[in-house]
Amino acid sequence: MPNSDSTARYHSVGIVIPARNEARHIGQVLTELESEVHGLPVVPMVVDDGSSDRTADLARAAGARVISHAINLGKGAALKTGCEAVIAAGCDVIVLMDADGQHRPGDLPLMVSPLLAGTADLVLAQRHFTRDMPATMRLGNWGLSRLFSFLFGATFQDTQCGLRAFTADAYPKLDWIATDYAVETEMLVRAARARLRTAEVEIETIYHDAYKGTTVTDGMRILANMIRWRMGT
Amino acid sequence: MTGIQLLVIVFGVAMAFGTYRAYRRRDLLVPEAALWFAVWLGLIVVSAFPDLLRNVVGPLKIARLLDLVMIVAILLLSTLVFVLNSRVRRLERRTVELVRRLALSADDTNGDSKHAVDKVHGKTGQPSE
Repeated sequence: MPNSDSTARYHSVGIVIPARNEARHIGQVLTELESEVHGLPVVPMVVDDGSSDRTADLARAAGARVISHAINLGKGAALKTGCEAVIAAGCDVIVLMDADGQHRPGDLPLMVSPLLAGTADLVLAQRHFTRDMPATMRLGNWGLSRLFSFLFGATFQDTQCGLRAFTADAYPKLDWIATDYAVETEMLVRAARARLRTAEVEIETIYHDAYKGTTVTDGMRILANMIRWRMGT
Repeated sequence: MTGIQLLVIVFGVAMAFGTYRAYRRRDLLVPEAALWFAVWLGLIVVSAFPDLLRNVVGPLKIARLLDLVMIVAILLLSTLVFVLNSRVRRLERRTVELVRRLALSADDTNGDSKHAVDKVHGKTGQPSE
């Protein structure tokens, strides 16, 4: 638990939630968010990434600020838009969270604690690779994490989890180019190169949809990108 | 003149006509249209008068005239694919940046967010590499 001196350095926590056709879950995700984390006010920012359903309306109705992409750009681009918006709004702690309800809002204090305590610049959530996770995702995550350690020399237990937290000061060093699901890996590559201090926090995940998120094709693309980034291009 | 020569000449003429129509529609700039006309004209001339290239084949140590045509075609196609790929990538990057900037400037709940990109990245809005 961070003390009051460490939290005094920060003013608010921006929760960036990229969403595309998440009308089923977005309302509940936002309703479950607490208004404060460790005494800091929370600013929920939903980036509607070209949804064709009522995701944006429902997010607004649930009290979130909503930014809408006119067309679908991908998760990486949506996260970038969201981060820039919350930083412009004065948030100095940023949390990235999925819109499908697989991350528990109750884990936010755990994610933010190392930042407020000043022991990390980037906090990664670490999922349990149990049978609750679809088998292909389990295998893909395990493989990509091992490959990341081999290529970049930094070991993370879970390189693909979307729940992350970092300070606004760290954002320019993480600032990614990937517009798709490769964003998570690119963020880690940039963190390793910038020698940012990282911490991992174990979380529970809930899987509502079998076919959402990173697909096998995405996994192959991420793999190709990792090799490209290792070669410095 | 063989059948294949005739076929290539007809193809070259058709493509030259297509290039002319694209130029009239302003889909092509003058230098682009001139380049494509040169390509089609070269194809027609080589097909109609293949002996013109016989003097080139020997010094280049290429066995047959057809091999020379294939090598030049592969080089041209590779260059074209590279140029097209670069342009598509650039267009994609610009589209992403445009959509993101429009989204941020339309964020009416926060007056400052209109300049969100500038705030984070400086005036240029370019991400750090």
